[in-house]
Amino acid sequence: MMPEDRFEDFVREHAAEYNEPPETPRKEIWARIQAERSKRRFQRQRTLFERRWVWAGAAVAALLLLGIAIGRFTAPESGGPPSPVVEASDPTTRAPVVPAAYRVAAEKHFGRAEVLLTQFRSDAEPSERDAEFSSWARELLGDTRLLLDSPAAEDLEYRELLEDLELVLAQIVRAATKRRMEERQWVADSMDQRGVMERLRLLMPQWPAGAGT
Amino acid sequence: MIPEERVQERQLIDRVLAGDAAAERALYDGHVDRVFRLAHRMTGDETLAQDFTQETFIRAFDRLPSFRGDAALSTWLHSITMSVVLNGLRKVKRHRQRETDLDGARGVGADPKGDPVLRSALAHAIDQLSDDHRAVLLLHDVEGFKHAEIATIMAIPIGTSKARLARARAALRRDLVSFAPEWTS
Repeated sequence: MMPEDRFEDFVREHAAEYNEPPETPRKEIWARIQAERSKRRFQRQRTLFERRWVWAGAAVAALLLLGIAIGRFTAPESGGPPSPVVEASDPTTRAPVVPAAYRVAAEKHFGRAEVLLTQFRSDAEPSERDAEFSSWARELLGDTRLLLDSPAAEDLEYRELLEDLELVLAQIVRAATKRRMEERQWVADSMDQRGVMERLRLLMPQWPAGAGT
Repeated sequence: MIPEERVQERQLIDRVLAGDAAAERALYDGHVDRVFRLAHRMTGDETLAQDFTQETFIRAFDRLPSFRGDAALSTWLHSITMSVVLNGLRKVKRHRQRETDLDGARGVGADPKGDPVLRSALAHAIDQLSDDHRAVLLLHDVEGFKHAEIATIMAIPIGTSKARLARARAALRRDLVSFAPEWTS
């Protein structure tokens, strides 16, 4: 039997050869770390944003139900004086045209689109996140088209923004798939020429500072 | 670690926490080699080692605000590395076991004389250790950590670290007993 200390020396000496590592690929690992952290930040922001909207949607729905309930309880039974005739409102204003549920849905959609567009523009070059951008833009593109076919599009301002958004989202899908710089530039040009970001921010609901972050 | 190094380390961490990208890179550069080396020793697979190194630093940057400085940063980083590696290895265990078996079969068929065979047998014997025992052996005998540091890294009592090292060595001795005459000669 080998002596204890000699055996331990042997292990120390030769275990160093066990799974001997190659040179550390520092640059590659650093690049992967940066890409993965960026992707996770993006996912976290998206999750937070969507969670915030779920709560907002629930709150809006609760308010609507409360409003309906109050209306029912406070409405005159019957035989009261006839309601005054309300003149048709200005067709360019949203409130009377778009039913509340569609308005909420459209504003929620604009909020989500704003997050995507902001994130996409913050990546000056094709990146690891492009696959995610592409899939998210596709999803939003489908919602945009649904909203264009809904009563939400009866509002002129909504319709025009949805149409511009449809174009920009289609460009993002293409740019994120092709991963070419000029495609990204076209997206940026479209957004700037149409003032998409400014219009989205005007129409999406404003949140109090720090909400949901 | 001498106090001056400790202060520099704290300053570097503060800069990282303040959002200094260059400090992040400096922290990474200062520790990546040891983290990668340990991950590679434990996995024997460069791709897995890269994956685990990547995950270690992502977690480290996320958790850095909670680093209190009770242990050296390198010890703290190694504790994250070991946690990532052991959890990761559990997930790939079946795959790894198959490869280990194949490696072992190849070792048995090799030239039975000389050092390469003994070293191969040692590698095979280390492969056969449980992940926990292998980790302590590699940290102590290869990476040069003390039991107190290993205890922090593995989140175990110092006595457990010593016991695992003793059991690991005993298992290796048992597996390599047939080589004893070559040793002593």
